[in-house]
Amino acid sequence: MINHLLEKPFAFSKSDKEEILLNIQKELLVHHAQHCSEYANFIRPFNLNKIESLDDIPFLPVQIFKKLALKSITDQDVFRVLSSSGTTGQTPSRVFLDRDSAALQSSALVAIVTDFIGKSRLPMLIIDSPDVVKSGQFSARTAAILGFSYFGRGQTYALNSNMDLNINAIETFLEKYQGQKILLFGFTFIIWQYLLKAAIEKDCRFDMSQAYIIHGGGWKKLQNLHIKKEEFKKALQQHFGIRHVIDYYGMVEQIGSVFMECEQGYLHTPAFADVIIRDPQSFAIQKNKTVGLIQTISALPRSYPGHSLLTEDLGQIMGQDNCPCGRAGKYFAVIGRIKAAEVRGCSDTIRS
Amino acid sequence: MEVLLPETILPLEDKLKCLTQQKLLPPFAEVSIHFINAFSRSILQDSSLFESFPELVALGHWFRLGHIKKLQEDFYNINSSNVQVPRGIVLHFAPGNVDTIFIYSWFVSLLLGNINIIRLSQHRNAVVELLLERLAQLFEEKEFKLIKDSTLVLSYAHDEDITKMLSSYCHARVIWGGDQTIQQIRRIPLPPRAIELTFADRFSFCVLKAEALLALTPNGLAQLAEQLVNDSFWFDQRACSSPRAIIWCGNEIDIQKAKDLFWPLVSCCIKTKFQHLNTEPALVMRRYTNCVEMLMKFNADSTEPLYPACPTRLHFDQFNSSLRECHEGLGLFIELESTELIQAVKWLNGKDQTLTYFGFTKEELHTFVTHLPSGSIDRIVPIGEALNFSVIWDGYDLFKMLTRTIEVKSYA
Repeated sequence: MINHLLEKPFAFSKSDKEEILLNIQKELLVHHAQHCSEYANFIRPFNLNKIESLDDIPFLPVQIFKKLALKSITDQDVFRVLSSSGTTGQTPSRVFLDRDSAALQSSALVAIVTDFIGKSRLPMLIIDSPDVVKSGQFSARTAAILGFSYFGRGQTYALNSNMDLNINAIETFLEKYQGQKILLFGFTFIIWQYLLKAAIEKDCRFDMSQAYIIHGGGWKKLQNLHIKKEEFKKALQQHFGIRHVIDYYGMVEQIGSVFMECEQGYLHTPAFADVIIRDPQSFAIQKNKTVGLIQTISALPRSYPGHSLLTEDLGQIMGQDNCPCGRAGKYFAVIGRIKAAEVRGCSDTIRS
Repeated sequence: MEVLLPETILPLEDKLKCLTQQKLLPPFAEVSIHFINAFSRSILQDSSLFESFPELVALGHWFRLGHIKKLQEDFYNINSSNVQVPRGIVLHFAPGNVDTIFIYSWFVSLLLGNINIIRLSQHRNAVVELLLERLAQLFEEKEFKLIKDSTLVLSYAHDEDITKMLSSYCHARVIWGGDQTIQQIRRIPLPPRAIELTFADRFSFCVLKAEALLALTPNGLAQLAEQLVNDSFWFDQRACSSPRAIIWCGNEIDIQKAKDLFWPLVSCCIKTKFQHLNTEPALVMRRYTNCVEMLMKFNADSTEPLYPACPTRLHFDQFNSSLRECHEGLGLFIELESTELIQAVKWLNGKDQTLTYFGFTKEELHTFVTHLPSGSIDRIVPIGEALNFSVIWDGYDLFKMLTRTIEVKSYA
């Protein structure tokens, strides 16, 4: 079933996709209830017979993976543990994958990305330090870089261990692949701070006009610096000649959910995932164009109950099946993370 | 390390030596009363504080002159020839995050004539900054020089050496904080005759007799709802004394009727007074996540799917002790049921501090107290009074603990 959806991730319109995804979700509900006792406790109050659409699928809050180690597989079958970069003082999220899930995750990523940058493997410049894949913990950044590395060849790191521009490496890379389509990948803030700004400071003019740059990790840091998306794209074009800037939204807590930005500037749901917007106070479903909490649904999470999650990101659905870029499915925009709460009360003095 | 109050150019060790040479004032000395009264007035006369710093206003109110006079009366009401004198230097550790509760023990200590050293965390919020500002202003007045010279407020990141040095000078050490903090500070030695008071993580309950609730008029019921809301949400249900679990007493039918009448009124009251618990997305998500966590870990007996609105209620047939550590406040109530009040004692332990109640007679409460498990419950007060501070707190009588008793015996 999933393989069918993976073959042509953006060819499934609402009528084609919904029933398939709903059936997979219902099956996953039962599967996780059977294999994960904590999830069984969670799902108990829900009447599974009353589920008629994707809107009715119960959702877990995304932070639950920081509180509990949820898995629907035995410890022996754990092949990889993904973890998010936790904020200071917090335990990171943990996501448990078996071999099949890890393979499926890769397939899903391939299916999506090739639709945006083509099927051939492009020479790849990673905007990060080589240390990011060496660290013991498999963080979100590590996962993203390793995942996207599949699409490239001749992987070269643009930064040194201390995050300085490795000008030599960059120039060698650009010279070697001059005139060819190339792929740049990195986290949004790192590209801004350690590539763009650093290059401007050092007055390096790199010709990257043949590049597709895929970037993720959110806009929070840039928002704090009052830098808008348009400015980011414009700067990349002005200084490096880059015309194809592709944002993506995803989270470590839900494998398969990589939403990439189309030529029109919208994030697209692939056939095996979907997005619902809910009111932050009542969790009621919101209409198109209304801002609310983003809930993401994925057909992939089988080894852990991550198939339906309510995130702490605000966004809005722009439309379905009618995006001018030609891709079927819902398309949406992410506004940003909800404001952090200032929590009161006695707590450990030691932590300060 | 930063000295916040008073302004001084002396290095810490010298300042501490000065403190040891400072003469102690008698308990409830005129200047001490004047000082606290001046502070109280500066708070109560500032109407701008009522909305943004209600906890400071509550503090100002508790330390108003009328109440200080009553405390003084209570203190000297002991028919004895013994003499109470201050302990000496009292070292206070304020809790990490917010809470103004440590100010109560600090000011009581001040009234009792002690010299006070207060260690604040480096993350201070607006309330504490305002407090320091007001105190600094008072310290500028000549009349309060004695108080200024008997006070030291400082802030430093967790540093055992500084804590060691400060502790070596003190006669009493007061620690407000989580269990971990207390363990770590306790390891640092005290002088042989110094005492220590610890205010650790606590949990609190509210018990309601269904029958009594059903006998209330609609007005009475609304008032009861407001009392619960006041007890619970001033500090987002994070204060140790705020109830996080409700125990309903009575038969099944009465309890269900009572719940159906009561909870909508509570929701309504929250919307009026503490609506941020519903409108701040981050608080809603934290509460919802905590609720899901409890449901998953402890298998609550939930008959309906979870919802985000405040208050969220989780029903349990039995109270698992570990629920205490899991609960994060923020508008979530654990609901339990018991036919008789006396049966609820099996759920209580040493972590439980406050029990607020409604609908029980004095006799019922006294019987209940005699059956309490060892170490549990420090105060049983009517609903609505959970957050009222008292000189007797967490089992300590602060009047006795922060003074020394000199036995004076005359000839027989």
